[in-house]
Amino acid sequence: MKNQTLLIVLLLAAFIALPLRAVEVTVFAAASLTDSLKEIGAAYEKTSGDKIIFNFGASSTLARQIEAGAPADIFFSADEAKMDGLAAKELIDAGTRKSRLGNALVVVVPNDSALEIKSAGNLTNDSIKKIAFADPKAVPAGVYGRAWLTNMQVWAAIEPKVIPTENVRAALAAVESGNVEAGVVFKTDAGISKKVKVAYEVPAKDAPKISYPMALVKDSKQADAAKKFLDYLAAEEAGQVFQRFGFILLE
Amino acid sequence: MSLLLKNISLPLADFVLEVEAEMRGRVTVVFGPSGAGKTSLLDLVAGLRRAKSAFIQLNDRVLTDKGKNISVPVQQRAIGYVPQDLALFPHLSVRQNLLYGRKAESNGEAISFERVAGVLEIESLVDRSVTKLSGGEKQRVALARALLASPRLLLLDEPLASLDAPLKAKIIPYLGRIRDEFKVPMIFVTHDRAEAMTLADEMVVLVAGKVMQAGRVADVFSRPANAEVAKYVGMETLQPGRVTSVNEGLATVEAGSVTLTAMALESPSRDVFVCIRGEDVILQRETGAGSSVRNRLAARIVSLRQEGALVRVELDAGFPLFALVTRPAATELALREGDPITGMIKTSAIHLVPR
Amino acid sequence: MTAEEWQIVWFTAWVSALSTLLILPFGLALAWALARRDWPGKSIVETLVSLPLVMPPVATGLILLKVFGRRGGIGGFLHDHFNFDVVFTWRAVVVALSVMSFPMLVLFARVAFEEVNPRLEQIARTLGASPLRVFFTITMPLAARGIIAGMILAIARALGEFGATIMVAGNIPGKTTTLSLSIFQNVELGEDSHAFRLLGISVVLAFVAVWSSQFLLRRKRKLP
Repeated sequence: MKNQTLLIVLLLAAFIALPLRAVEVTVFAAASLTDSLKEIGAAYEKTSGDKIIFNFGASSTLARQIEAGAPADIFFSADEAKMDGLAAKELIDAGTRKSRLGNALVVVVPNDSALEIKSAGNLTNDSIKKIAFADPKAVPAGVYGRAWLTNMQVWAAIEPKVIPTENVRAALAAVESGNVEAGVVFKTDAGISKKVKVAYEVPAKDAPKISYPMALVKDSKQADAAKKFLDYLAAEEAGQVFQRFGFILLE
Repeated sequence: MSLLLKNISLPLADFVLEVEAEMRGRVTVVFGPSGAGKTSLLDLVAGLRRAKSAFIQLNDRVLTDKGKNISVPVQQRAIGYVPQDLALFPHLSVRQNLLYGRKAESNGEAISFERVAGVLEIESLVDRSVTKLSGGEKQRVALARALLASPRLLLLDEPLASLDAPLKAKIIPYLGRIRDEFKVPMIFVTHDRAEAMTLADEMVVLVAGKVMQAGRVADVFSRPANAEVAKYVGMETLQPGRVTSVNEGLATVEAGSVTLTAMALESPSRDVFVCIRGEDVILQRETGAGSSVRNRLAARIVSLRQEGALVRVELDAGFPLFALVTRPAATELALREGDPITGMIKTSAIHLVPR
Repeated sequence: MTAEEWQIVWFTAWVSALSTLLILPFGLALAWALARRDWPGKSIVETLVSLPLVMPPVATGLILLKVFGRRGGIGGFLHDHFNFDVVFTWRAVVVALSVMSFPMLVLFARVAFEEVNPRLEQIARTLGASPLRVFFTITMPLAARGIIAGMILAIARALGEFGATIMVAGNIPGKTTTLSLSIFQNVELGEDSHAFRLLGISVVLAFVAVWSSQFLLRRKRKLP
C-alpha cells in the first residue's frame, strides 16, 4: 500500500516537473527577422533544451499586443520608436535593451519587370502606378521608407501611389504577385524571395538610421530563460547568421 | 365544341393517368373519387403539366402533340381555369383581378365586363379588397375573372367542394347561367353525384387514372358499365351473382341464397354483379296483396343509420341489401334492429354488371 | 467626427449600396431558379452559393485576390487588354462586398419566392400572361417584402465586411478604407477614441438594417 502511494507521488511529481524542465520562451519579433530568427532559434533549442516560440508580425502590431497583455517574454522590434513606446509604459526591462542589428532599404520589382529605377525620383514616373509599403503610418519598414522619400523631397508625389500593407512581408508578397509595380522592403527581405529582384538599393546617406532593438518584457514568466536567449542573440554565433541573411551588425 | 384527348400517359404517385376521350357537351363532368387524377387531367388540358405522351386538340386546334413536339404555351391556349382554391391574387383589388386577363384590344367577341358583373352579381364587390370577400363572393369573382379572359373552354376543379349546402345551392344557378348566357363550354371536376346530375350533359368517370365510362350523364348513372362505376355512381348494394337463365329479355340471377329477376344484359354474361340503388328498395311490413314488383324478399333489419333526411337501412335478405327511406317513413314503420321486414325491388331497378 | 471619418462612412455606404445593386439582377434570377426549378447539379449550385457565408472571409478574399489580381484569370485579362486594375482599388472593395453579401440575398429571396403560391402564377398564365408578365405582376409583388429584407441584410453584410476586403483591396487611405478597415487600423495605431466613434456608427447602421428587415418580415407574416 505504501509502495503504491509512493509510486503515484513520484509519477505526479515527474508529471509536474517535466514541463518545468523544458522552458518555453516566447519571442515577439519583427516580420523582417522571420527567416534568420527561425534558424537561430532552432540551433539554440538543440543546445539549451529550451523551446523558442516565435510570433512574427509588424512591430507596431506586436507592441500593441504586448501593451494589451500578450504573453511575450522578449520583444525584438524593427525600430527604436516602438521599443521607446513600451519603455515609456515601463513594460520592458531597460537594462536588457540592446540594439545590434541594422538593415538597408531597397526597392524591389517583380522578376519579369523591365522597370529601371536609378533614384528616388524615378518612383514618381507614370510607369509606376502602385508601390507597396508596409503601412507608412506605423510599421517600421514603411516608416523608414517614408522618412527616406520625405528626405528626398518626393514623398508628396509618391503618396497617392502607396498601397499600405499589414507588414513588410505582405509588401513583399504584393510585389511577388505582380499586383503592384514596385515595393519598398528591407534588403534582407529581398534576399529571401526568388520572385522579386532588387531594382535599387537606398544609399545609407539617403536613408534614415535603421536599428533593431531587443529587450526582455518585464512581465515575463521565464525571465531567466529569456535572458539566456537574449545573451545568445547578442553573441558571435547568432551574429554570423544575421550577417549571412544580409543584416548589418552595428558594432 | 370538341375536346379530343388521345394517348394521354402521365405517371402519378400511385398509378398512371391514361385517357382517351372526346368531350363534346356544353358541360362535361369528370367524375370520380379523390385522387383519381382529375386535377392532373385538367392541368394537362390547360398546359400546366407535361405528360409522357399526349395529344390534345380543342376544336380545330392542336394544343399538345408530344409526338411532334408541339405544345402551345399556357398563355396562348385561351382555356380558363378556376382551381379548387380559387387562386385570387391577394395583392390586387377585385377589379384588378377581374381585368387581369383582359386583352388591350377587345374584339367584338369579348365578353363585356358589365354583363359578366351583372350575371354573376358582383357589381358591388368590384372595388373591394380580395381578402375581405366571403366564400361565395370569392367563387363568383374567380368565375368572372376566368370568363373575362374570353376563354374558349372553362375548366373548373371542384367548384362547389368548399361550400356548405346552402351556398352550393346558390352557386349552382350561376354556373348554369355561364352555360346558358355566355355559351362557354365547361369541363368541371367533382366527386359529388348531385352536382354532376344537376349541371352536366356528359360525363367521364375517372378512377385511378383510367376512364371507366363516358357518355350522357343519365346513361352512366342508370347503366354503369362495371362494378367500380356502379360504386361511384351510388349503387348501395353490390352483390356478386350468377345468371342461371335468360328468358324474353329477363334474367334470373342467383345472389347469395335468393333468386332475383333482373333486366338481361345485351351481351350475356354468366358471372355478374347485382347493383341496386338504395332509393329503389321499398320496405313493407306485411306482405300485402299483389303488386307488380317481381322481387319480394323476406329480410331482417341489421342496422339503421340516420343520413340527414334519410335513413339508411341495412338488411339481411339472403345477401346484404341496403335501402334508403325517409325519416318519417322509418318512424311510421317503427323500424327497429332485428325486425323482420319485406324488401321489394322492381326488376328494372336491378342492374347487372358483368364480372 | 473629422472630415476624414465622414469620408470613410460615406465611402462605406455607397460601395455597400452599389455592390447590393450589382448583385440584385443575377441574385434574384438565381433565387427564382432555385425556388421554382430543378436540374441535375442543383445541389452543387446551392452549395457554391452558400460558401462565402460559411468560409472564413479571408479565405474567400484570397481566392478573389488570385482571380482578380494582375496575373489572375479575370484581373489579368482586364489588365492586359484594358490597362484596368481591380485589386487595390475601390473596384476590389465592390467585388469583395458583392461576393460576401451575395449568399444573403439569394437565401432570403429564394424563401420569398418559395412562399408565393405557384398556383397563382399558373392561373395568371391561363389568363393569358406571358412568363415575364407573371414574374413582374404576380411573383415579384408577392415576394417583395422578403426580397427587400434580403437586400437590407445584404447591405448590412457589406457594411461590416472586413476579411475579404483587406485581402483584395488593402487599406488605402482615401481610396479603399471602409468602416471596418478603419476601426481595425485605429486600434492598431492606438487611436482608441477614433476607433470607438467609428464603432458607434457601425453599431447604429447595423441596428437600423437588422431592425428594418425584421419589421418587413414580420409584416409579411401577418397578411392572410
